[in-house]
Amino acid sequence: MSTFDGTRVVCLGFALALGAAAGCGVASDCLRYSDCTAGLTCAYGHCVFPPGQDPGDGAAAEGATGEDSGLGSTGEASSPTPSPDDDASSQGGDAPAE
Amino acid sequence: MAGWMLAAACACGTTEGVASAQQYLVGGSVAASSGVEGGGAQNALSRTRTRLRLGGDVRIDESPDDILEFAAIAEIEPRSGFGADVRYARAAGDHFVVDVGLLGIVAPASLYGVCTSLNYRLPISKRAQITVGPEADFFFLGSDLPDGTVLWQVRLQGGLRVDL
Repeated sequence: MSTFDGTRVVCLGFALALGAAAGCGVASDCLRYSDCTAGLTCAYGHCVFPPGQDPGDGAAAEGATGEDSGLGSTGEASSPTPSPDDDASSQGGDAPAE
Repeated sequence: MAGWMLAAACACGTTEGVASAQQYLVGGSVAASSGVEGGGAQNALSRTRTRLRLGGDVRIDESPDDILEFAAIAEIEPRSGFGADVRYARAAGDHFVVDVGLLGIVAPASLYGVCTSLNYRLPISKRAQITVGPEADFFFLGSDLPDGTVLWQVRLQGGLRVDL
């Protein structure tokens, strides 16, 4: 394999990997706990409030914004296990049930 | 008695001669890498953290194709992290080096796994080379991983290596 061929194979492989990431699979906010802002945890690829924690206090007030905060573009909080106390007023809107 | 002493002297002299013929060849390198990562129940994909790697390698002149590599690692964006790796590398031809090893991120949370990469070394001077190539990492242990998650990363790395 010539030098040119080897470099071309490396570049082509990386381009294919990037294309796969852009067009295939499920987009995620997090894969590691440390991908999330302090006070949030990573569950099923999204930064969410820990079970039993009121989203109205703590993390969201500490400057968590955007995808890192578990807040979607519509301002909805991602909470896969909402506590019984969760209601529309505590999350600033309608809370999705995932 | 004299015979034993003569034999011992010969043995010592032979051993010393072999040891002095070996030379350690040391190199240093700096590289940056980024790519895509995935894993978890949904096999979600995202861009992986950009990583800087400051490392060294050592080999013996009698076996220059077998290389021991070690490095400090810093993840710099979008989140930071620090760790290290140690690898066994094998030269495959004049310009290619393939390696496999253990990799760990230790701060702010731990993440441990295995890594493998292929590097092409483009000489730019007698002692310096530009390095470029793909790397694959698999993390399966550590406090930073959600339960049952295996995190994989495919990276393209590029950098500079110098024979010291």
